[in-house]
Amino acid sequence: MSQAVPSRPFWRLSPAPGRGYSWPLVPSLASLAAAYLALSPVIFLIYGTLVGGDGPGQSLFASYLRAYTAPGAVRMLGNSVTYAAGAAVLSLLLGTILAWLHERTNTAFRGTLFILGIVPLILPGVLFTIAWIFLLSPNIGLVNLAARTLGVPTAPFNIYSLGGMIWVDGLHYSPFAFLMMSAAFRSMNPALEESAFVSGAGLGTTVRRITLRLMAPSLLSVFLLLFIRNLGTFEVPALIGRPAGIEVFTAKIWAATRRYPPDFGLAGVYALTLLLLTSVGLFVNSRLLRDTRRYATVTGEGFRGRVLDLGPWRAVTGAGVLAYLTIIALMPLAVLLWNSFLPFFMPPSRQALAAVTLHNYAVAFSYPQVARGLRNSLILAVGTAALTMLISASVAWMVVRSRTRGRWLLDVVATFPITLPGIVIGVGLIWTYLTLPVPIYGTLWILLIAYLTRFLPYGIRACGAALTQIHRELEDAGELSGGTWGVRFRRIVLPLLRPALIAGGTYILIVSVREFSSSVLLWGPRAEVLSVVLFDLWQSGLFQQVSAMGSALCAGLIVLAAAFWWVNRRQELNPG
Amino acid sequence: MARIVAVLAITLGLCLSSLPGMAAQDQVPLVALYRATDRQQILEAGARREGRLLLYSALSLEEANPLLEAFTRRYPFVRAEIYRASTEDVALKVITEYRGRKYLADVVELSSIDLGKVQKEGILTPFASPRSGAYPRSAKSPEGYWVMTRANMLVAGYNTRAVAAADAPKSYDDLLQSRWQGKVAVEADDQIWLASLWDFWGEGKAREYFSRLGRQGLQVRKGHSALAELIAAGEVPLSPHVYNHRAEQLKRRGAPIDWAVLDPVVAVPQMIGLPRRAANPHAAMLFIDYMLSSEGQAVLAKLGRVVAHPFVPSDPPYLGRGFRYVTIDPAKFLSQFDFYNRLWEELLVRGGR
Amino acid sequence: MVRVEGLTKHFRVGNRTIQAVGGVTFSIPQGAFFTLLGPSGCGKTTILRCIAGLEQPDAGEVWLDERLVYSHSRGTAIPPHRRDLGVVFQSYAIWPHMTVYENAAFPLEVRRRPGGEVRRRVREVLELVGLDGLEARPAPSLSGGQQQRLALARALVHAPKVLLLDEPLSNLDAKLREQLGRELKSIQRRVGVTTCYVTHDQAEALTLSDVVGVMTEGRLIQTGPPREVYAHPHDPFVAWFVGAANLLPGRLETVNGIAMVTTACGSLRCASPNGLSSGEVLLCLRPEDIKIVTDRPVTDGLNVWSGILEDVVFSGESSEAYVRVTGTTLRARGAGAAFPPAGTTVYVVFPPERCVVVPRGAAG
Repeated sequence: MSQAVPSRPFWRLSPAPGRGYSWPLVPSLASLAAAYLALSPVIFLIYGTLVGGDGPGQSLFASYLRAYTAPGAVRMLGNSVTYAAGAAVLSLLLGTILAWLHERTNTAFRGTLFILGIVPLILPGVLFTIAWIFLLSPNIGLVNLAARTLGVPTAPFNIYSLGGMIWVDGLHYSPFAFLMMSAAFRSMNPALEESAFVSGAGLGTTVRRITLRLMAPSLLSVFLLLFIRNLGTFEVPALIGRPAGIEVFTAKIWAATRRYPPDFGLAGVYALTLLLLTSVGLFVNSRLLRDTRRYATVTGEGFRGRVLDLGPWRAVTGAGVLAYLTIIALMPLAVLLWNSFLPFFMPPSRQALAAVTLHNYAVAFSYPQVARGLRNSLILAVGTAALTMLISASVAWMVVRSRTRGRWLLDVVATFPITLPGIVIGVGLIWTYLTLPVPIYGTLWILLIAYLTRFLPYGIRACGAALTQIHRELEDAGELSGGTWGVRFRRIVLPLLRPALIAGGTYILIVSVREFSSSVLLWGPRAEVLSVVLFDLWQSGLFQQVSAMGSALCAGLIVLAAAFWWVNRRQELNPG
Repeated sequence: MARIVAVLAITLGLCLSSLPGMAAQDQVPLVALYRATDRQQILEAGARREGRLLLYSALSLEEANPLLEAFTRRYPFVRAEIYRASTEDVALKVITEYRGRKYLADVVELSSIDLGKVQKEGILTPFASPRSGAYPRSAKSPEGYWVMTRANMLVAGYNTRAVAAADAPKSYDDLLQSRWQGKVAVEADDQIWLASLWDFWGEGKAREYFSRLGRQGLQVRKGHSALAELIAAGEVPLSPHVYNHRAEQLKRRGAPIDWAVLDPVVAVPQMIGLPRRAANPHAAMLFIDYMLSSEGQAVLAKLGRVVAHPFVPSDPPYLGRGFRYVTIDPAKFLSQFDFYNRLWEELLVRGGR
Repeated sequence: MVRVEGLTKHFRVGNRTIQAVGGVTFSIPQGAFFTLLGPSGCGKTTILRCIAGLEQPDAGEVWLDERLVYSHSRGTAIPPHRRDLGVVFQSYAIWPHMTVYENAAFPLEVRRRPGGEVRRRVREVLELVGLDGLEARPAPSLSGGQQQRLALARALVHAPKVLLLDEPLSNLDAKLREQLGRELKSIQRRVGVTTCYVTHDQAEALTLSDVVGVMTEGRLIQTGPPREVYAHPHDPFVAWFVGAANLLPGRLETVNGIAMVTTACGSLRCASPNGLSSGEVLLCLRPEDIKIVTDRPVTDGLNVWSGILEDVVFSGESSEAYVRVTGTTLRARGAGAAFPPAGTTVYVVFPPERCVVVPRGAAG
């Protein structure tokens, strides 16, 4: 936005031509709200580390000392980094290969890959992890049992290990890598590869010297994003790490808040460390993307690239795709379904089949908490999606379009919560709303705030990107025709933003339903959400009921996603 | 300008309207200690006005929901709900809330240790329930802060397919045998078990025992109920940290699990207390009465729990009788928690490594 | 040399099948500059990609230098990296992560030529295109014109038998286009490589090519040297697309060996009946061939029509006049500002030898 327009400080009103002053109230309020949401948890977190916690020694930095001189602190750091990096590498590997197969070849099952491959994204992480525990438990895991019947002497897989943690999270986020790398492949001009072909390079040489080199920034960027996300996940560390004795940051934060007396100071210090790590990671990422502007090969047109004909290899890659889909979607769902019909966990056998019952479903759905969890999750998801996109549109407008000075600062502040892992937001918000006289602690409102805080950056990014595509002149024409800001926003900007709003809103809807790491600290009586109910059932040892509830949930989510996709297809084929 | 004022006014209004009313909380000690003959009518009238009850407890949903339903059948005008999490988490929640001056809990029902934490924070207020008369002195707080409702008995649970009844351990020393190497699982945070035995045996014997136990290649799992389920599933063959009522429940469903008494059994009492700023004190007292009454205790017993009421038998009765059990004083445990925790980590979790 | 026989290609769009190329046959002699000219979507780029091997035709054969590189019926399909071609893409496809030198050296490196030869050849070819001295520059820092030259250098460095160019000048501004076009032609002549060029710009096609092939809707309508195609179109589409033309429907009759076309505006004697003797035709009159005079010329009355000069448009090096003759507006072009003012009654003269007829309802 390098226009030679004189900028003015943000508190001054912007004059509309020939109409006196009109105050863009809505975007200003939205920006204030976004800034407040982004900064308050961190400010109070820092405040908490300096002031709070009843740990021994009340000096200002006692918490910091305690955190870093505790035995095993270094090992925890090592574990966190290994786990996060390992899972990121696995996701990236799987996702990239699949993206290449999907975008650039005529592999068998292309379409199915896209549809089913997204399934893990909509499943709550708690459920996915639990399913894999059922599959890979050292003694009773179904996979291990199957291996034993095939003659393998000892159980080959033990999920209670760093490898197990990496496996589960790596699988869980591979669809994310798949989506991002698909977009990267799609945005690459295929002429770059074609010119290599006609210059005499075979497929291998082309991939090596051209494709991979051009993809390198995207690969690195996606790796960093995955790494940061894995650092902040909590489902796997809670369900697998703890029994395995492998501690990572998020688990340490959680443990510190559950000590007696609760050591919020310690939790805060670990949270800040995590925050620092993720910020560094994101900073490196943004630098990377900036440098690669010179690699930008797209002018917004889609490329109908040459599709590689795999010939006889189609069958092989097709089998690979099927295997992937089985591992990532069918196996976990199957084991949950299986377990949901049994009175207690049993491997498949004639005995087990005889014991099949619907009792678990009846019991699980008789709990008012389950119904409430469902209802709350839905309400929160819809509310979060709607509010997020509304606020995002306004804030994005402020950042991209308005002429106030310092709007880059707003951009930084508003998108900064991307660096905050969910559990850090949780701890921060606890401090915030126990200190501030706003009585939302323990209610759905604090969960709403947590979700807004987490997801606003994504909405703002999406709207910002969409806004830069919409020419400023479209709005100027509206202004010159006499429209106030409100009219212009409602009748010009919002309708043009509709695709971004819908896409962003749908994404946020889905991830809100599965949010866990903030919810687990912030939920309260009558304010429980799905993922927490599942976690609680698991912790109570009610494995069968978790499976029943989980299976029903999966079925519901899949149906919902299918409905969305089908409606979307209809829209695409017959627009308007 | 008008718009800004309107927005601010609405926000302020929302904030103010959610502030809790002040009058009710001042009444809590009065209601709690009310002993006159019209107690029941007063409580019922008050509960009718209040209309709801929020129980903070570690009872699993499987047990809590039937209990609350039974209570609601008795007092249909009270909408009863539970905030349920593990006992440490619930204690923490109450403490955090009180520190932040949020008074949500009406009744708290937790393990002795965790209720002890809550009491140490000064959250509880003494109450007088006519039902507590039936309980022995050891099951009540002398100042009236809590009464025991049930107990979790820690026994040795084992998978019947992996371990024949004859081979099951008969005493703690049996666990030290080499055949149990790598086959014993412990619960991740059972410091109270260690502390109770330490207290009972004395330092010398206890230290030696736990050092040797730690070298048995112990597996660690989180959650007592989960542990029982894992044993039933065959994931681990044996654990001394199984609640006998849970093992019994699973056994009744046909799972291949059984339990054996190791002398002395460590009992972890669960107690009920009244927070001093409960929002619905009348309903809370009705619930406390109910929990302590033989009616309420019978509901719990039917759900398979070991109940504290001396005249209500557990179901089956051998869950609560026929063995010696020990308990550690909560205050003592809490004040020495770090000591026991260090022992736990050093001797058992790290196995002397 | 290049030979294409019966090339056919279909595409699936949604649930419909579109024929992009239908039975195209042509050949390019050794060292010739052949241009496929046609509007967007006519299939010319598809043919080029088929020759390169980046698309697989559905029928037909392609021969490069007497070597069969593709045959649908025989099942031969040599992959692109073994066809020994040079290709310049419309987007240049310069690899942004390499320098100028590395871009140009790539085709030789993948053929594992010795280092000394690579260096020598790269230097030669960069000099040929006028990029010498820029070897170490990162490729994205080049301007549009420089990138195009680099693309050409890369296409020529391994001395290919055939050079293919897909609208390489369309992304450049007018002046640069002209200049690079001329350089391209001179380089091609110097190197002597058989070239197939694709464009929608007929001026480009006429200036650069030895042979022009005009295409529309997947079919090759007319092939021939530029002058021939311009002066003697066989088809209304060619007449309309190549150069500007006034097209008037009429009836041709040959009487006593003299061809006459009767149109709504009048009759004309025409001297190049295009092999026709009678029938429904389109009369094709190039604007630059029409003469406008204010006084009635002294002739035998034929090939002179009278009309009103409606408008004169000045465009620098020439002017265009629009004359209304009996309900039809004709366009004429003259040098400078050579026309009388608008509103004048004028006479329009058509030299018979410049009047061309094209069969109506032909392939166009």
